[in-house]
Parts: sequence; structure tokens; C-alpha cells
Amino acid sequence: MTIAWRHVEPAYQRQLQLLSLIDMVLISAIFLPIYYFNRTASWFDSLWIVGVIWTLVTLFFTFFWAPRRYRFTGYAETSEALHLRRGALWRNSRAVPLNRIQHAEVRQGLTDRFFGLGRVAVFTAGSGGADLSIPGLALAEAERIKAELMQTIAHEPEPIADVDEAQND
Amino acid sequence: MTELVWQRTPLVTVVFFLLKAFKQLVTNFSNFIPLLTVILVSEQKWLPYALAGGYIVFTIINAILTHRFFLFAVTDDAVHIRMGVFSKKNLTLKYDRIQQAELHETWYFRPLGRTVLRVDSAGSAGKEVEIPGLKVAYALELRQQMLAQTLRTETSEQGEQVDLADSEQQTFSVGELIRAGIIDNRVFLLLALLLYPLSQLDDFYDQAGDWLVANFSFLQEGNWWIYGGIVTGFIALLFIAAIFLSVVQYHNLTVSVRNNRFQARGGLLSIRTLSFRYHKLQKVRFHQNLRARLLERSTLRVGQLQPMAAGQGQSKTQFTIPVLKPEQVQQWRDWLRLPDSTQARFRRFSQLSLISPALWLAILFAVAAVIFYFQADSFVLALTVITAVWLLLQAYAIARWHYKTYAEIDGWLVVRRGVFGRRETWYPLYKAQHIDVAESPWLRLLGFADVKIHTAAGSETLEYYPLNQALELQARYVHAVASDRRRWM
Repeated sequence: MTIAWRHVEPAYQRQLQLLSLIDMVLISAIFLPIYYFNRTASWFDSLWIVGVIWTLVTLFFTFFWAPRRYRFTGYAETSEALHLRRGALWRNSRAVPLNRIQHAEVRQGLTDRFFGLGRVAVFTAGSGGADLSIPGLALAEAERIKAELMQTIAHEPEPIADVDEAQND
Repeated sequence: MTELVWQRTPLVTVVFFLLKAFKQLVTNFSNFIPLLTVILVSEQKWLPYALAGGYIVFTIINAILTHRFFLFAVTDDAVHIRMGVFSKKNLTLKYDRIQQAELHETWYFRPLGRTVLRVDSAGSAGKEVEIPGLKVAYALELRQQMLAQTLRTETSEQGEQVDLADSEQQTFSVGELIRAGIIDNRVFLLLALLLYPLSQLDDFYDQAGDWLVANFSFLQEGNWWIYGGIVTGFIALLFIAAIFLSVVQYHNLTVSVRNNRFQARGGLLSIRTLSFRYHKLQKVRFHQNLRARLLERSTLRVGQLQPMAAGQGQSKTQFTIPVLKPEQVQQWRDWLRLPDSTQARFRRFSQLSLISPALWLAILFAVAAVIFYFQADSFVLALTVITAVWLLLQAYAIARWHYKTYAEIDGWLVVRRGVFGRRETWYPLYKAQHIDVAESPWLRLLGFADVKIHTAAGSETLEYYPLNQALELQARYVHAVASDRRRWM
């Protein structure tokens, strides 16, 4: 069975770029005061090297990592499972069988709202947080997926007892 | 809705809350080590006493208040609990949500004919609640009431305490429990517990140094055999302590099995009851460390869905049998309906999975060689040593690969591993929660992928499949889970 992968919204790429930029700015915000108070330390002499590295890393995240991650990110709904693939360098495609889903929710963080995006988080048993979180969805699409999942869960047939179990009872 | 009749637990339960606070202190002991160092360094002689006294007074008052504010009410369909001194907490445990209800017969309640009722409820916000100080008869009745509800909703009979009369049983002699103590890794835990605080207290050495020099000066005269004797004696003492703990904890351990309900009950001072129902099983693990292999014994652990809240005290609720003879292992295999694995073909993972550890080891080796080239007095000696270490590690990596095998038998995934010890883990595949296909950049370069199976009790990675095979495997497992209508928890 081939899986019909669907892409997430193009805004997701811009969101990733913004998020990585924020991270980089935060890193420099931590670094600059340290530099300021330790100007005498010899290993801080070559600030420009640090600056070049910072710029290169930022460029890497903005123009390589974010587009790559955006292109690979995709999700699919089949009759049996919800699929999600994500990652830029370390790729992971996850499949959650529908009958193992405990609950689902739509989440919208600060940057999600800024880009008009939402994400669907799906929970199974036995682990801490959300086991599958589809990012970069249009809010309406996120709501649709959630509603469909809830529908499926609600209409799940009652589990049958183990064959052996039934015999022993 | 019926009017709630709030009850207070008897006064003795103050002891329960006191001990609970004390237990917390012990578990969080390492957090206080900085504080202890400060105390030892400070000049004020009264400070330690003041702190200890303050702690004791605080704990006692806290225990009394906790007891004062702990209320519970029992209705037909739920038990309500109200607790908390400053931040109040209201809990409602519906009977039909209750997973487990066990009596925990602690040593201080046993002479008084009272007990602790421990209740686990399911759900993503797993809750565990203990109601202390109930009369045994009442606790049994309450427990019955709780599980009767579950019984009605779940059809099969799981409620009662396993009836000793018509159940299959396993008992364990003192000899076996001594073996359990030898096998148990608690020895090393004790060692770590003893060494860790000592290593943190440099000041202790400063103070004890003079005393040590005065009393153990004979050690400096080159009597190395005395060192050996002291170390051996110390380890022997640890083993004796571990054996003692094991005998106390598992005294009279009895396993009873009836109608898919498994129960292990034992203990000298506090009687502990652990149980699970067959359909809750998520993982089975037989484990033998080197000592266990020499003694021909195994340890069994049955993994269930762990409520998140119980995450920290996991071992407390995990169903564990510390020591099993080979024939008892076979018995358990039958009880747990594990398929016969003697005929199955166990497979190794691709040899390619050896490349990346070998690569890392080689890089480490090169780095170490360079460092030693500049640092060591005798480069030849250093090179010999690190080459030997490198070869050993590389041999270990290969051995680990060699002994890690897996098979799929009748819907179960079995993974065997262990160079010195042996570990065999069984997962019912249809209970898997989600399945990943993961590609690191390195794997992608080779065109391979790992398949990760996440169950409600841990996950397992099947390494190095060609990508298309990995995806096929994922699809097959997803289908197996999705098309299975059996109850999984």
C-alpha cells in the first residue's frame, strides 16, 4: 500500500526560519554579555571568527536546514494509521495505528498564530508528551484532522477479549 | 448523588505520613549533599543540630497536619479524597477507571490489623493514591467493591485476591532467596550509595586524614595483600547486606496464578503484593547477569502500562520475580503463553551496523594516541596500553553484535542480547503504540534505516534494514496492530 503523503503549508518554512533565527539571537544574547565582561581574556580576542561562525550557522539554518525540513515534512491519513515524516538530516517517519490513539488536540503556539498555522498533537499510551505532532497545518485543516480522529476513536468497536482469556472465564 | 460522608484515617497513620516524608528525604538525599558540605565547612557547631532538629520538628508537624487534612469518602461508584495542608487537592477515583487496588501490609500497621490500600487508575494522567490505616477487613471489602465495578465493565473475572486453594503456585525457599540476593544488582547500588556521599565530602577526608594516617599507617608499608583483604571483605559485606535485604523483602514469596491473574506476595516485615492481569501485559523480560548464569537462575520482569505519575518509583510497581530456576522459567513461559522459541530462527542485524561503532572507536583511538604522544613519558608503553584497550572495546562491540539477535514468532517480537549476561525480551507486537522508520545521515548514505517499535512499556530498535524493507516492515506492523481487535490494556 503506497502512502499518499501530503505537504504542510509553505508558511511552515518561514516559521522554521524565524524559529532558528530566534534561537541564534538568543545564543548571541547569552554570549555577548559574557564577552563584554571578559574582554581581557585572551581567547576572546578574535571576535570576528565567532561572528563569522555565527553568521554561517545562521545561514545554514535559514537556507539549508529550514527548506529541507519543510520539504520532507509530510503527513498522511490511511484507513489504519496516521503517518508523519519529519526531519532534515535525521529523518523519521512515524506511524500511529488509529486504534492506539488515546486523544488528539489542536495546538497553536505564538509563532503558529503569527503565521496562521496550527498543529495536531496525538497521544498514545505509555509515553510522556505527544507522540505525534503534525506541524505547519492550516488551522482549518488541523481542526478537520482532529475532528476526524475523534470520530474514529468514538466509533471504535469494543475490544474483544483474548481467545484464551474467554476460555478460562 | 449521595451525600459524601468524609472519614478521617486513624491517628496511627501519622506514622505512615512520617515514614513517607522520611522516605522522600532518603530518595532526595543527593540534593542535600551541597547543604551537608556547607554544614561541615561552617564553624558553627550548633548548626547541624539546629538543622536536624528543625527538620524533625517540621516533619512531625507536617505529618500531623497531613493526617488532619487527609479525608476520604466512599460512595457506590467512586472514592473521593481530599488532602493537602496549604494547597488542597480533591481527587475522585471512579471505580470503573481503577486499574489496580492492592493491600500493602506494612510492618507498622500489621500488628494493629490495619493496612494501606493502594489504588492505581488509568488514563493519560495516571494517578496513584494510597489510603492508609484501614482495617484489613474494610480494606478488603472496599477493594472488592472497587474491582467489582471493573469486573462488571470488563466481563472477565479479575477482581478477587487470587484464591490460594485452586490456583497454580510457585514458592521460593530461603536458598533461592539467598541466590536472589547474590544476583541482585543492589550490591552495586549499595556500593554507589556508600561511595557517592564520601566522594562529595572532601572535607571529610581532610578531617579523617589524620586519623587514617595514625591508625592505618601499616598500609603504607607496602602490605598490598591487606588492601586486597580489605576490598574483598568490603565486597563480601555488601553481598551479605544484599542477601539479607533480599531475604527480608521476599520472605515467603509465593506466586499464584489463576484465571489470567498473576500475583506475587511476600515479605518478612511488610508484606508486598504485586499483581497483574494477563491482558495488561506489554513486555516480558527474562534476565541473567553473569552471576545468575553461574547460578543458573533468571530474573523475570513483566512490563505493564505505567501511569506517568508513577514514573519515578517504577520498580515499586513493576512485577518482578527475582530468582527462577530453569524449570520455573519454563513454567512462566507456559503461563505467559510465550510461543516456543527453540525452533525459531533468530537473526542478527546487518554486519554493516558494526561500521559506525568501529569508526567511532578508531577516531577515539587516534585522538588518544595523539594525546599520549605529547603527554606520556613512555610513548611505546602508552601505545601498547591504548591499543590493547581499543582491541578489547572493538572485540566487545563485535561480541555485542554477535549476541544481539531477534525473531518474530506468532505475533511476538523476541530480542536476545548480552555479551556476559543474557537478556531476552518479548513484546506482543499487536500492542505496539507506534512504529518509526528512522534514518540518520549515516544510514541514509548507506541506504538503510532503523525500525523502532514503541510499546506502552518501552521501545525496541531493529537496526539496519534496507530502506524499502524497513518501510515494508513498518506497514506490516501497522497493519497487524490496526487490524487487531483484541484488548491491549
